[in-house]
Amino acid sequence: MCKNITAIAVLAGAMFFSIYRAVTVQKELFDPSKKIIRIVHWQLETGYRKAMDHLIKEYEKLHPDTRIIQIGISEKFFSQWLITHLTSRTAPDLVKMGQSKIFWQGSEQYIARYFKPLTAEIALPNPYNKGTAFEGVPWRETVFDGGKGGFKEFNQEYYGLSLTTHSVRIYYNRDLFLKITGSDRPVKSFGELMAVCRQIKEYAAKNNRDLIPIAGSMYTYWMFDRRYRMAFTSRFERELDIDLDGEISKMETFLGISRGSVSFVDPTVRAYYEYMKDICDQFQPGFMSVGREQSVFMFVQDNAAMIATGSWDATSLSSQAKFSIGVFDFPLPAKGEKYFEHVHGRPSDGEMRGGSVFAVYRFSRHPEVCIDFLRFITSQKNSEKFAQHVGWISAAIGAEPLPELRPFVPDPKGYSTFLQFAWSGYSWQVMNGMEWQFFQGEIAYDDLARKCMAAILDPELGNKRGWVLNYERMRKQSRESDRMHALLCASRLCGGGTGNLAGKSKVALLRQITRHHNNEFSKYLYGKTFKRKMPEK
Amino acid sequence: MNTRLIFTSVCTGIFYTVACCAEETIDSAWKQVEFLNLKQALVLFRKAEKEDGLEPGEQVSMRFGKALCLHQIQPAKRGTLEKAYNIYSEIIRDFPRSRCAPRCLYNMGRIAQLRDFHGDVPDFELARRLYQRILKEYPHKEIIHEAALRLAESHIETFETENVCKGAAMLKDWLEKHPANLYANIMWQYLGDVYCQPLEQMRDALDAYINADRIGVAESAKEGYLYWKIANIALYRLNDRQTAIKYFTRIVKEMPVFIKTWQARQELKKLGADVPERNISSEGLKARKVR
Repeated sequence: MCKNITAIAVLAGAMFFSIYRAVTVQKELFDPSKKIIRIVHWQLETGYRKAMDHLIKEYEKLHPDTRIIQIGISEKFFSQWLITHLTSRTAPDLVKMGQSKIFWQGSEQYIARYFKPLTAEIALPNPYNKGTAFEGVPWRETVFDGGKGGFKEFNQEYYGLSLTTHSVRIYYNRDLFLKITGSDRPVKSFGELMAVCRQIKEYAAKNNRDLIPIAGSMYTYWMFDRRYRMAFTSRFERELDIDLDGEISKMETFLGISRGSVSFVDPTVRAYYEYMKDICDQFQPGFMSVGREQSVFMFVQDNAAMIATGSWDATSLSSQAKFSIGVFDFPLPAKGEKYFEHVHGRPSDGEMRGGSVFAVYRFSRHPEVCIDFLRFITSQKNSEKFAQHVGWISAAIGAEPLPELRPFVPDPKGYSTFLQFAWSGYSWQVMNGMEWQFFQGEIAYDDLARKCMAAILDPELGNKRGWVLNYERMRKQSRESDRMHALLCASRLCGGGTGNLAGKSKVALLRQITRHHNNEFSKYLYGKTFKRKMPEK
Repeated sequence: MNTRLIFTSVCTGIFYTVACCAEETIDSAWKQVEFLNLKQALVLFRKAEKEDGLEPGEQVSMRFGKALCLHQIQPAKRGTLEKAYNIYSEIIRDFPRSRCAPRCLYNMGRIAQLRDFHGDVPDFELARRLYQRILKEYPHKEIIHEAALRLAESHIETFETENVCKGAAMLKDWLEKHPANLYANIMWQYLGDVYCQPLEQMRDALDAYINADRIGVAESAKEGYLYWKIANIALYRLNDRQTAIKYFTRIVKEMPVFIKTWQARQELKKLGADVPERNISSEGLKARKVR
């Protein structure tokens, strides 16, 4: 009897609790007196959700009639979850762009179908920047990438603005530096870097320690490659950039090779490769078969004194490492040091795009609240607060990062272009293979140079083939622009349409005509260079 | 009498219901076009086509929408493009004064001019005849400027020197006659590109780009690239220091976050010109005009 009463009491309690929860959740999610919006992302790491919650609470204080619910979905399921909700018209009001194929190139119709373009809105000032240097400045101009992070080429629309950004630098073990070299200050030049690496190797050998100067991997190698390729080969811009768009394209690089203006025997190109070999000599043997996680593990386990990775790893590295971590930029040779005369200048961080862009769901019941909330979180003050909470870098210009993240603030000073040798699947494959062999000391530079040039100049599979394939690819892009233009003009005539269709159709026309002209010019140039018509693919 | 009245009322009701349904179907179809969902839009246009009693305006809208979907649907095929071409022709034949007729001619010109699929051969002569028809038959419509631009393009894109010069001259002539036309800035920018490559007439290219800037660049996020081009042509191809300094300075003052701003500052230093301080204040950014 006693047991029966207890069981009944437990059941009754559970039932009343469920009813209570159902009523309170119902009230929370469907309170008719409030404008409720939901914001979804996949950033489940420490700090992000708390930082977002903090901003949400601040916004709700200013707007008591609003309620914002944050939803975190794991990376693995984000895409499926999002697509399901988009097709069933139950998607959240604000969606973080990325982590799903609907945001990839080729899936533009999904973006056009499900998300609201904000091009008109971001051309206006952000009222939440009142009292700052950005008062009255178009919203788009208040982020370091000028809105590139949320811009979609296919229809020339902006879907949001970046909240945060990242850059890559070299992290180092300050305790180990102090112990081995007597100083824990950051490295300032290539010469200093090589000296420190030498000391680390000597220390490891003397103390029979499993310790390498720099934790290498495929992932970290590309960070060094990109930075130093710009630093060395941007000097060719003046000579090779024939269309004066500020970039040395693959076509322009290949034209330079075909005309003899640049090759692997060029002293600057050779210097770049030898420089990279000197860097790779500081990695562990066999580094190209090592993944990112392994190299990070080596660093935090005190088996590597340095590692190159992004600001996105700052929080996790400092929480895992039992030593003090410092950061410095990729060092260049100082005057008098080896390679100095071949370096053109510092590579710019300006090409980086911001991240954490939230798009407004087209069928949101409160789009005006969504846009206002986006203005709020991307304002200089709030973006700065958010980034400091998460341990990331704010995308807002002038926002102060945490002191330890100051070295990561993107620095737009520097050069932004570089030679791009490989232009076909075959030449890329050969070059990749030869580079790995050279960096591991298996072949000499002259062998690398000879084989890479042969692959590039191969009449059937080399860059000539890449040129033809690129022409076809660009022709399709130009046709896509023409399609957009046609649809915009038709919508103006018959469809009613929304937004500034006249302006958009003009931009689409300009894009199409420019792309088409440049592409047909590349075909003409092919004929002129090789004295034969470009084959049709 | 009552029966007749009731019968008439019922028929009218049915007519208006059908018409409203067809109108809604056509509106829904255009909504799908806006969403780039051309397959669904085509289904809806075909559905509307089956309805009787469409008003002429709805007829045009439905047929134009159907032709547009067949024209722009991917992958492009000879059969669908031919169907689209024929429907455009029919609209021009049946509704020559409708608002869509000039755009139908224009789209037919695009079908002729572009290579849409493997094996498709552009017919520039046909395209030119169609654009010329727009100029002749719709002289007061805004579309004539687009037609003039495409007519010039049809010569230029052959990349035969005589034809390129002819196309460039046509475009320049049009701009002299219609300096304030809606597409003037696009025409000047395109002309600049043509003078640059393949004609390599750098002074003409510079003048054309400066004219485009004077009117206002069509793509508000891309002025930086135009200014960079102008400054480099001026400095490195024409030795025109004054123009180079002017445009490098504009990049530094008006585009603090542009990827070439730092390089523009270096160029100003090399030229011995004043280098403005990095200006992220509202005054500096407000200097940019958005057209």
